[in-house]
Amino acid sequence: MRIEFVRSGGPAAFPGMVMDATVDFAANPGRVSEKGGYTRDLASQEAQDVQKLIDPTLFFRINNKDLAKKRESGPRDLYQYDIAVHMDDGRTHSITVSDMMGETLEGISPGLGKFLDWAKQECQRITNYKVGQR
Amino acid sequence: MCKVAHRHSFSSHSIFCILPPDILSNIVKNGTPEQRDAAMRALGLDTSLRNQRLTFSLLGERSAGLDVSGATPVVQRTIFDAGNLQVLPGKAVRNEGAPPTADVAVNEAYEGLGNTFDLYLQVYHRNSIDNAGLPLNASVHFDQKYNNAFWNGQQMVFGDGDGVIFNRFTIATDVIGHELTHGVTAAEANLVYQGQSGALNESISDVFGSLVKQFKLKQTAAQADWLIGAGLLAAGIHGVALRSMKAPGTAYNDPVLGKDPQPADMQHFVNTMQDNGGVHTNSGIPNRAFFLVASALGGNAWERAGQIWYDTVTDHRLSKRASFAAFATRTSLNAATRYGSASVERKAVLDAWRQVGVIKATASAAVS
Repeated sequence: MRIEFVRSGGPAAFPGMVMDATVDFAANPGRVSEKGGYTRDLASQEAQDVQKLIDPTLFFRINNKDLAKKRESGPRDLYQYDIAVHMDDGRTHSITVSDMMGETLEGISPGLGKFLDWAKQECQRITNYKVGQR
Repeated sequence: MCKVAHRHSFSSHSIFCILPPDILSNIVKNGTPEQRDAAMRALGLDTSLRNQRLTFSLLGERSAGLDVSGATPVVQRTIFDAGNLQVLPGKAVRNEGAPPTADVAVNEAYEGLGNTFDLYLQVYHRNSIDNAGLPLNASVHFDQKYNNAFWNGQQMVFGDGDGVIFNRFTIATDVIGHELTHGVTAAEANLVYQGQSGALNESISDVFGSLVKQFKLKQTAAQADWLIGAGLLAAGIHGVALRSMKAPGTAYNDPVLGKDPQPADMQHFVNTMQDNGGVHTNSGIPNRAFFLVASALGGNAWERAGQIWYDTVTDHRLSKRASFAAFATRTSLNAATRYGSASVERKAVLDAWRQVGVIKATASAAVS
């Protein structure tokens, strides 16, 4: 399984702060890489924990139009997260949420809200990396 | 109390006379306007300001502005400290009329809410976000190093910023005005937050956010900096603000943030799926149109230019999926309605939309 997440938007939608990251579990036990050059190898336990947060059966049933309605009725100026799950058998599904939709996601697919929290923390690590590269 | 209810044609609701106060309070919160009126009178609420505030607290925010007194609207602010947790609202730390605290974020939030309330009331005669006296609540210190501020439909939420990209979000009063204006837009045009209507939604927040700041500083259009979020970028970032309404695309150019991508005209409109279809990017086009109108008219931007934009945001004929062109047409029509079809105000509006390429030069001449 491979998970991609792209963070955009926020109060200013800075182009340099768009995070385009991939969590690849084929790289044993798992690796996060971001297009700006950031990489982080996950410890075995973290890789297992992150993978468990995504239930593919439930994830692939999520209707993105329903999420769009939730997003539309929510606050403005939030960060947008596009999350795509790619299965080893070739199946792919993606959803778009805002950074304040963790509870909604948790209600749809237990663990998915926690994945969003994890992705947000990873984005902060990527931010620190980008700032450190300046 | 019951007599009052009966005088107001609620004789069929004489049940209000026998209901206990807690049930009456629930009716005040959840009943129809007629039921609320009768229940409030049954509760013996008089028309003093003190009791108007009590009534507001009973009503909650949804219908908090029910005017039982006819008194001049007054701002009703409460600032909470979220304690760097994600739980809202947190602990109340400053109520309306209370002196400043030792916490600068609390005081900035308090002032920013007041500045926004003042602009809308004093210039556009709008009684708070919902035009019905909604109390303005805000939580500061939300989450840890949270890089954002937003209106959640009920209250303002401010993060402290990470100190790397952003300073505390209360630092810029125009950003507070921007976020609260999202509440105004939601209550009026309710522009869909996607594509061009989303960029208009963003632009309207920038326009009135900037006007909140200009009104507070009593600056003319020529004196204003037309920046959004000046002071919000952390030390070391190469930039002056989040956006420039005067010169979109020039607010920052930084190795980490990248270069400000805002277009100043339709020729450079950005098509993207990110950020709800580029709502923070393409807002540069209507932002500049407003700046051009305000500059052409001169004087205080909140007066004629701001009035035309306010008339348009509150124009129920404006579609929630309005394009830039549809919004431009509405501003032109509203300028004509308020100032005359041959007025300098309408000409300034048409010229501005033509300059940013939303209205073609030929179309502009035809409309004129």
